[in-house]
Amino acid sequence: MELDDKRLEVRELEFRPVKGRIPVLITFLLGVLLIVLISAYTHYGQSTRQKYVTWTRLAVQIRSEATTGHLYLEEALMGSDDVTLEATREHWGNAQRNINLLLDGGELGEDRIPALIATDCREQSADVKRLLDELVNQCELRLEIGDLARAGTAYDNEFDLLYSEMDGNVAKLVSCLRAGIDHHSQVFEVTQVILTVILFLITGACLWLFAAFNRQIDKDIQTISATSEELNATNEELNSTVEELQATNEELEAQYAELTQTHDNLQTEQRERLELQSQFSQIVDTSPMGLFFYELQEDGDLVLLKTNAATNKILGVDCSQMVGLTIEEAFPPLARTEIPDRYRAAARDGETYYGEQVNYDDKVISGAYEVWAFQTEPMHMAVFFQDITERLRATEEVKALRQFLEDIIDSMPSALVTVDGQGNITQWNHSAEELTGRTTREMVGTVFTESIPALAGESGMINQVIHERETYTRRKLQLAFNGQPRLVDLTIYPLAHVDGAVIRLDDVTKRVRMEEMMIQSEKMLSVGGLAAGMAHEINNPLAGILQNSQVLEQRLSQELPPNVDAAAASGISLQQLNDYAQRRGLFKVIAAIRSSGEHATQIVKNMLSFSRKSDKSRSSVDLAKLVDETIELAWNDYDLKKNYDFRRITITREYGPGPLAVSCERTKIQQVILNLLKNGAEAMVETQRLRPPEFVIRLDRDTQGAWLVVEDNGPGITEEIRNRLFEPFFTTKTSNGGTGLGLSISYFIITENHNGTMEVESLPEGGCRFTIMLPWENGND
Amino acid sequence: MTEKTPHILIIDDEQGIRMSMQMFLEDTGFQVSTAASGQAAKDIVQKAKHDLAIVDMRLGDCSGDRLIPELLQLNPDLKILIFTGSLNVVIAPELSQCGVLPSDVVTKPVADLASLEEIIRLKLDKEHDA
Repeated sequence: MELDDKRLEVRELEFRPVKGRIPVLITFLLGVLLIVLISAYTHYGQSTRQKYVTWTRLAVQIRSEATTGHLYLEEALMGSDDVTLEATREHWGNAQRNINLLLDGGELGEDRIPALIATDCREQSADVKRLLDELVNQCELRLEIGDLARAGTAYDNEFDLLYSEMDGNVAKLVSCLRAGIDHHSQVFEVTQVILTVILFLITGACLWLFAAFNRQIDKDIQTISATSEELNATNEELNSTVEELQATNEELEAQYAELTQTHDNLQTEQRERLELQSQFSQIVDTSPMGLFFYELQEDGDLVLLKTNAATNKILGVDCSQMVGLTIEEAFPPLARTEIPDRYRAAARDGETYYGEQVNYDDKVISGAYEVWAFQTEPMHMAVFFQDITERLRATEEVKALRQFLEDIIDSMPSALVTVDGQGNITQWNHSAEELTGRTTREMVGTVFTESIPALAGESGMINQVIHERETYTRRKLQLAFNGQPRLVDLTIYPLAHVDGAVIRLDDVTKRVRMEEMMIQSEKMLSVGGLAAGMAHEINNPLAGILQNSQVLEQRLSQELPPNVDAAAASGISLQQLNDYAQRRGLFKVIAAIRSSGEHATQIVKNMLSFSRKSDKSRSSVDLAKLVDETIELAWNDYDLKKNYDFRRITITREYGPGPLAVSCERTKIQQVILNLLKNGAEAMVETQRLRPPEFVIRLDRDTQGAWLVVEDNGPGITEEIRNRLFEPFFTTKTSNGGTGLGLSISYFIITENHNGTMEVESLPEGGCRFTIMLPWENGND
Repeated sequence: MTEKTPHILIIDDEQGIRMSMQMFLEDTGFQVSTAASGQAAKDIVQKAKHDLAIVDMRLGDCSGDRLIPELLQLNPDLKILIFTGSLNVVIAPELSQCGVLPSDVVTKPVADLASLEEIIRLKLDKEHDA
């Protein structure tokens, strides 16, 4: 990574100077061009000058050759031996050659002479040539004539005149050529100065630009140096790495050898892999799970690449038509979910996504799907999915069924508790909560016998039931829940297929009480039938006893005439007989017989009330008022013989608000209340030394009827007595015993005549509580 | 014309009752006959005219329900008082047809026979006035 950065920097440095180079290069090229130009111009100037010099030299030579030829001619004509005619002609020939060269150009020895180009000089040259040619002709003529044409002759004079003209022309020609040289030299020098100045300026500019360029380069070089240092450092690192790499390389070479060996194997493997790949494709195509392949493009579009056959089958549409669409185009409702982003994350970052339940509905495709999305290669991902709609429905059904079963279990009136093989509670229904006051949440998971200490003794039985798979039952267990005594039927059922048991607890307290009441009621009815039958039979002898004792009394009476007559007939006076009976207490005996007879009559009457149905003399009675009146009655009715004084008993009234009107037989209900008060008062005699006697009388109402509760703080009763308390003739009173019918008659009045209930219970702190309920609708026929 | 002594027939299978009632009623000015069974009662009624019959409902040989109509057939003028040990006496339809009313029922035992005497006199007077 670090190295790559440096390479980038270097590349930038290399690229930058190109910008500064172009002006430098252009300026430089301009300079070079100018130098070439100056050189060319100099060359041109010099060659031009050289030409003029050559032409001038030629012109000068023409003059010298002509002068020499002239002299030689003169000498030759004079007959001098020193001068030959050939030499004379040669000089003239040279002069002619030179003028021709000047005009037409040509070779002179090794030199090449260009033709004269200056127009003004050419005219003079042409004159010179014409004159020279004339002179050569005259020369030849004079040479032929010889002596006749010697110096001082006409020939000679003409010749000299011509010669002078020619010489003057040659002189002019030379002047002209020299002027040309001067002119060209001047132009050339000025131009050269200008060019040199320009060259100087360009060189200056070039140098400045070059300096600037150099500075840039220096700067770059500094950067490069810095980078270079870094690179050196990196290089050192790299060197050490290289060393390591070399070591590694050796290892790698060794491995390479191995790899080479395995390469062949790999090739084989690859063939197999290719085969596998084709098999994989086949699997994809035949997979029962739906399969989508997506590609994440650089613009962020997630495009569907491929689907398999199962997809069409699962979704019910031809998904191949969606290939090439983005996920949002193919499945619009998904755009509102997290799924496209999850898929992108899978394709980009390789984050696997699992959707346990993806609900989808676009009118065409609808259902719930389980989805797995994962990266297949960078920027590519695959989605496996399957339709779980049916499975969900089944799960829902199972859930509903489970709820249904739980509801059933919860709605069972029995407390149902399931325990596992270790006795841990696994289920705890509503009735169990109600019975024990403990919630399902706190109970599930605890050990049953620890959580219900009352049933700790049954832990052995639970184990036995679980292992022997036989049901176990115990009836009317006396347990206490929430401090309340309860009678419970316990049944432990083994579970059929797993280790565990169902413990069923039925609170039978009410049922048992009800059964007791039923039994009591049946007893009453049978007593009623018995009493009815007995009453008639007993009433007859009672009538005999009472009537006869009355007749006996009457026949001892002094007022009845037959008595007087019979006494007289017997020889005694009735008075004497009366005295005797009085002395012997016969009247008392008769009175006792009558009294006993009347008592018996009363018993029979009471007994008959068991068989007597309601006489329908009902009225609406305010129970509060009735109770108060009855207490008043009891006050006045207190019985000294019975060893208690009702007025010393505290009476606490706890009446509900308002009158408590109930339809009943007033006198009978009063009889019942009086009975309870008398009974309680008698009972409290036993404990009055321990605590002051007190009655608590409560009146209340509910939807069922009116409730009357009479509590005393006497000694209370044992369970055995409680069970028999309402039986006729059952009594605990030892002295001056009542008939033992009071409570049973009260019970009969309440339950049979008024369709009510009457219960008795012993209070834990001592005393008894009688609870009477008179239903609102108590019509009885 | 001197007032005729009312003639009363007591029908009861209990001797103590028959005897004590007869003695009491004779002492208080009635002429009294007794019968221990239904048959005996019918025989007596056939032979002599009685003003009033005191009938026990349960007799050894028949019930009062059957006996009373038969007696009335023999003597339509006979007044009837039912004297029974049962407390819940229901007047059978055949007795109602013969004119027996719930007020004609006296339950045994009576605490004081004088009250019975009073009922008898009232019954006889009523009939007499009528």
